[in-house]
Amino acid sequence: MSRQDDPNPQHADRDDFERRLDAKLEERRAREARQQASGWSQGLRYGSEFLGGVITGTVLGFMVDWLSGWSPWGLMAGVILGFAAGTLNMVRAVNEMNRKSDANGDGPV
Amino acid sequence: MADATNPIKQFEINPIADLTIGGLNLSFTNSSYFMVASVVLVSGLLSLAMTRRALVPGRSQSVAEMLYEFVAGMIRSTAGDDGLKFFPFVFTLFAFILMGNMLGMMPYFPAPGFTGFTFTSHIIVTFALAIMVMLVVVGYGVMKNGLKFFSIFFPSGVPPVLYILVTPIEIISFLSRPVTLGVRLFANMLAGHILLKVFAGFIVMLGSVGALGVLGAVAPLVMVIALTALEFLVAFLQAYVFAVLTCIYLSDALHPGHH
Repeated sequence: MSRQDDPNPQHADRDDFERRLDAKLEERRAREARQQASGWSQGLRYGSEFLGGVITGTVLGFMVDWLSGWSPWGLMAGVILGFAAGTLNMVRAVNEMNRKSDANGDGPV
Repeated sequence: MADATNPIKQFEINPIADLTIGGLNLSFTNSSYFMVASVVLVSGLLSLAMTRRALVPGRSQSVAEMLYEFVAGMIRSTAGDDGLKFFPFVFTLFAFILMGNMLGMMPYFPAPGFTGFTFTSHIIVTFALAIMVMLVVVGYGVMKNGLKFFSIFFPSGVPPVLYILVTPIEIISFLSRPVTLGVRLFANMLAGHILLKVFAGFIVMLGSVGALGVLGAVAPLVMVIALTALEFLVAFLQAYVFAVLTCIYLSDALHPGHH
């Protein structure tokens, strides 16, 4: 609904007010989001991304061994691939965080 | 005394009503009790807050609306406007985990045994929630995009020969998501609650030594107060992180190939 075709001027006022309020809130949320990303939570995030990859790869490799009797090749391949997947996870998490802070108008944190 | 300072004691599961079906132990435990309490409290408080539905909201109504706006904004910014069809799912998850984490911050709770309990500090609970999220993502992704959903395992711009190596890595990376999602929530809650209990235990131990001990107990007391504040932040933050990651994974199901 645009301002001109709104018969009630009070509505237009309210829309305008809401828009300004939204802009202010957006700005404030962005600032708060930056502060919340503390070192501890970031570290835990990257750590768990990496750990998750390694654990999943290892478990998958172990299961392949168990099902097919290729021991130890499945486990070895699983650990290495899991390592790669963990690194990939971590790179994605970092990219995502950098994109977020770029959108907020400052460089990578 | 030993129980009062045992930091692991708080995670013990005690059956409230024994129940065995087909050899499986399906007892109603204190964990189940807190999950039911969380569901009842969230639904009860939200419907109570929305009984009046005034145009200019009162205090409780604005809290409920803030919660709604918060989750809706989170979905819009991570999964786009078409992600809003998952609003009920994400909101339920967020509210359930948030209430569970907050209930866990109460040292005493009107429950059998009168002790507090954090159900999100058990990996099986968080893992089950994470698996549920992944099932929704895969189920919806396959339903909507058909086999094209699996194109996330074949990133574009890679020479086809390398798919031998890249595809297993992508598959492991995808399968590791529920692990990371579950482990992060579990690890945060477990570590935080153990830390709280350890420092609180120092107060009890020092306090029983004598006058000098009581004086020394001031330091861990200050620490416990600071940690409690931090734990409230973590309790909220981890519910938020869980919900945000759910949205990010859902956005993969909605628009695959946008890595």
